[in-house]
Amino acid sequence: MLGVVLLVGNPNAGKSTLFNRLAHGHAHVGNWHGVTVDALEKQAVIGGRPCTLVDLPGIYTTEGRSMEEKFAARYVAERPSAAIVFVAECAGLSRTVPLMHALTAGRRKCMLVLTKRRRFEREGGRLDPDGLRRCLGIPVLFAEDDVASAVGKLLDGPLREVPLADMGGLVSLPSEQLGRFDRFLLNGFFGLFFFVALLLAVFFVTFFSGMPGDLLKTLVEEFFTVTLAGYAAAIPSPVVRSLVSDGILMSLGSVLSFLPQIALLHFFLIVLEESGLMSRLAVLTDGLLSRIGLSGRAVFSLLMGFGCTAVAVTTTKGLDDKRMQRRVILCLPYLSCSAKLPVYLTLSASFFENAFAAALLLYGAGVWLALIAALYLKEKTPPLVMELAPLQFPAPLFTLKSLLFQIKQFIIKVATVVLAFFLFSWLLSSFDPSFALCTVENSMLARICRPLGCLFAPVGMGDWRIAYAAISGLIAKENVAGAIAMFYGAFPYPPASAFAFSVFMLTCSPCVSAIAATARELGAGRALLYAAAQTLSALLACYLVYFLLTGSVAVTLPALLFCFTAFYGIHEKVHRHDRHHAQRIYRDRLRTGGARASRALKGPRSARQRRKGGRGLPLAPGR
Amino acid sequence: MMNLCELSCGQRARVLSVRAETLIGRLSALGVYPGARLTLLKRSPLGHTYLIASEASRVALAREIAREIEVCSA
Repeated sequence: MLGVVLLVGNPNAGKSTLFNRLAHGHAHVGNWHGVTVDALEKQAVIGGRPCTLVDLPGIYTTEGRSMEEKFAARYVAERPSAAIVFVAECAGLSRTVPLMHALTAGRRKCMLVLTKRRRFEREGGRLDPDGLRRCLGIPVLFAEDDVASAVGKLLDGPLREVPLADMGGLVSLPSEQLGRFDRFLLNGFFGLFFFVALLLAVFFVTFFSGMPGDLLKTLVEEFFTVTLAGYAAAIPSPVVRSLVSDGILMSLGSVLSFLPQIALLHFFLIVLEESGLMSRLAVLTDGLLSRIGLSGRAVFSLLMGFGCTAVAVTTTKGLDDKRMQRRVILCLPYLSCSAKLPVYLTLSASFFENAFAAALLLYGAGVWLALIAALYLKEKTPPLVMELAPLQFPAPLFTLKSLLFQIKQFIIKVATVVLAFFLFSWLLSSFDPSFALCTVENSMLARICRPLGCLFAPVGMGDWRIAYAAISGLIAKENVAGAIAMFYGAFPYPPASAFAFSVFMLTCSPCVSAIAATARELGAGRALLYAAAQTLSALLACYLVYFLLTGSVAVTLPALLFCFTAFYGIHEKVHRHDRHHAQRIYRDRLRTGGARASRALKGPRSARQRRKGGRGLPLAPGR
Repeated sequence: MMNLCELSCGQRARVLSVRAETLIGRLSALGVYPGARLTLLKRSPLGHTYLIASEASRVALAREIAREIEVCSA
């Protein structure tokens, strides 16, 4: 039978790094906790022995309260014959010993790999590996040593049990004082100033025109839509020419033009996390942001939302918890992305003398909406207990590898979906129902939009072309401005309608790229649900704003009342759902002996709860 | 007897008890357990987060949790 080797250790101890080295894999590695949230298994030949290498989520104690810790502890307990490679950073060895003792209680093959030795010694720590070997009774290696052959030998090695040894004298820890940089970074004034400047610089470099991100984006777009399309113009058949230049090349150009900005943003994100800066930001902003249920890391994603919603959604991976990620993704569409600016400018020309001031007003309204959404969705976040990741220079090779991984993920999971959607929309907008090439006015999409025109009739714009513009915004927001310019030249409707339509654009679902990115993070169902809910609420907001502006009280009052009721109803529903969630966690804890049952929970449960409860965590054998 | 919030920055202390029951395991893994020595390094600007150095690591704690940790000066 194939040997199984488990990598076990505290979060952020370097398990995934070791896993990648031993199995030549591409597990995502980060300088913060909980990067690995599932068991990652890989067949590998290590030290000449074929075996299954398993990277487990970080674990502090066998009685850990988090999902990952419970999962890891159960995984180890269910495989008594598997060998364990404990991974501990030199500085954290003292807290790994009790864990090793607990997990090897039934005697098993095990060894210890010590990581992050260089930093430990640079900070003045000392450690005696020979003494540790004698004291713990198992092989002890540094990560720089030949771990592979030691793991190979371990598979044939004897069963051992790690004693709860006192390591006084064998390990001397580095000094306890805060370093110079840390004192600066954690200073309320300088630190905050530094981080604000840093995030703005990241935003500037990625999204501002003339900066690397934007420059590369334009280059990619031009390559497809100008250079290659120039060649395509020579194709004789009009249908094939339209397919190649308007269909394939245009779509490829728009999808791949995301890549430079995604690469840049993820590069900055990885560097911030690897260097330990992100954990400082989290400490610095915890008191402030926990009031709206977010963390410092969420701020990074939210700020990037002003550049591009789709790109920002991809950076929410690895946020503190899934529920916070959901909240951030729900807030993101309200932070107007750079593609909405031309739309605002086009529309605001008809309702504000100073178009720029109007755009600013809409941006501000978006920020308020995002804030309200965050407050409205806010959940009680567990109080912060976080290890401060050490400051270090990010390893270039790892940065590059994780970056390539992210880009590959984007191409596979997002770009393909978006590309298919683009091609489909080209088909709809270039052909009439008998599949003959035609102008936009006669296309299938125009026919679909004709009945949809009534959606904007209440705000004085019962024209199918407005609906067409709104729908083209689904492909990319700047298309709305393009469609309006194509059909009308200047926006022809009165200020109230223009402003109402701006509000619709501000609050409606993000473009299909962002929806696809959301689908990758949260699943297709949830992504579509969010998009539909946002579009519906945007329509309501659009009506409401129009009625308020035109002052027809007879309509406004019932509308306000309706909105309030809807708002309250949703709130109640969300609230009730949360209570169930809390009880489910509580029940899971009951099962694992983490809490005592109270009288309130022993009563009969509703059918819905029973159904949900029945699908809880499976019990480990023997418990 | 006092809790962790009452320490001044740079002051060393010894943990007497940890009352945050659900977190006892996690905190002890981070080096915060009865008998352990620790130093209060810094209070965050808003006073919401406490940064301490235990023998095992540097840990940021929310005030709600720091309040539940009884210490005596050492």
